[in-house]
Amino acid sequence: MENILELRHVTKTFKGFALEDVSFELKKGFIMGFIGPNGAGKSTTIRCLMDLIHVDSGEVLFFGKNFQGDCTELKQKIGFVYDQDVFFQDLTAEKNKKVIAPFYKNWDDQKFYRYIKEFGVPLNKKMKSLSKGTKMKFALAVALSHHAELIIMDEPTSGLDPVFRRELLDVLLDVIQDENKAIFFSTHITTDLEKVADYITFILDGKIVLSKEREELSEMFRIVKGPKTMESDIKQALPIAYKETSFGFEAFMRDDEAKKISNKTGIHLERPNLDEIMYYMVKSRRNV
Amino acid sequence: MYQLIMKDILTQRKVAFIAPFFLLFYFLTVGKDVTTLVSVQFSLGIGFIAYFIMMYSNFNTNEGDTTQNQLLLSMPVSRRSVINAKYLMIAVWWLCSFMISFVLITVLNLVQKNGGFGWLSAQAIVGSLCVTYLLSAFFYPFLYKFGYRVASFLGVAIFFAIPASLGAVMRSNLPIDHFQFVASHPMFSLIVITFVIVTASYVVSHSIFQKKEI
Repeated sequence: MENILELRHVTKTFKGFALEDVSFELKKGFIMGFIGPNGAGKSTTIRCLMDLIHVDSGEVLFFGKNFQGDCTELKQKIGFVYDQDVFFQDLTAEKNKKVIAPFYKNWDDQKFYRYIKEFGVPLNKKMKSLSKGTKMKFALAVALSHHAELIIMDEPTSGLDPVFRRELLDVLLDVIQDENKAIFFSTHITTDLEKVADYITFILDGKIVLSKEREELSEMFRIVKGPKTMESDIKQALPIAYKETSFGFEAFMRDDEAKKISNKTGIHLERPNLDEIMYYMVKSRRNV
Repeated sequence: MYQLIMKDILTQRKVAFIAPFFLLFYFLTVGKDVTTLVSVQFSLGIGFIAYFIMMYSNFNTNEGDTTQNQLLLSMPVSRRSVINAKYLMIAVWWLCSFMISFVLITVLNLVQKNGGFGWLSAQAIVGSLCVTYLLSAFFYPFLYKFGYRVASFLGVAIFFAIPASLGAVMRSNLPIDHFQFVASHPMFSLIVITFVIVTASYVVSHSIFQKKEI
């Protein structure tokens, strides 16, 4: 199946931070969740994707084509939602649309107004007077109104109320019904991804820790709980992270390692959610 | 390119088009001598006003340079076309300044019954366009390198420095022989100097913006 987005060994160095050898791929018809704690490199990676910053080495490919130089044709097929106010704040939402729409060959006014109505965005109000959530809804309506094949979203759910967050996820699932489309979705609210993401890519300190199918990922690790008396057994099983609790211990380890000790009395295995995977991975890396 | 031009027009604040009305004070204080004004003064006046409209167009909607560039470059727009549109828009802002000034002076002439448009000459048209481009040529490389605050500060400094330095040159005893060609062909010289400086400015702005990280 064709990759709609591919990063190959992307490196970018700043003062005090670097993206190192970032590689992953997203195929048509799927939603990829891009997770990591604050400052891990999610937004920087997205800026590399959008050619806002120049990579030091490596390649960014969209629809199989290198994304460098004049990539206006490729950008016709990309919709974006940023976590910042990038629209013209002193213009109304309607005027913002008037500025933006002519840039896209396949702009669909009907679709735009349908989303605007569905999301309840007031078109006659200036952008600066809209709440963060409403601005995000407007950005989403714009991204979905020019028949983009790839939607790139940087923290789209932050600042949204739970009701609209749920609605947004439904919209994304609706978009992805078209098998030729894909969504790349960065967030640190991992519960959103549990509902919609097919793939998860985890970035930490500028490096990709893992990029897997969500189902595969939840099968890869286990949280092992048990009494303090079993501490030595657990430590011998090489946990990725280990912490003591008031009831005993909690260890995060690979599924194959966890299974080896699962038959011991008092041991209890749990499947971790994305939040827990992220938490323990960060904890283990930071403790190294 | 067309979309970028339309973007600049749609996002320009209406208040920017009031700028030419500052000429009104100039004409009112000069009063009946308005028809005797030479094209050089009009060139400078219209050029400066166009320059302010141009500066305003870069900070027209309260966005920082970064956020506006982030939006533009995320859309199907190349970095080259952003620069091309900006340099092309200088002529559009000049045209706005010129047309508004034209209407204003026409009305004034009718009211003051001085008659005639002594100022409206080919020299005034070309001269004001050159002044607008020359001033903008200093502004844009600084805008792309250091951002709007630095560029606008320098822009205002240039605005005051040019008339002051022109006055100083006029008062000084510079050996005229060295500038004989310029003195005998002022328009041609102005066009050539403008072309060279604007071309250099365009190349520098383009080079800065190509490398810029947003």
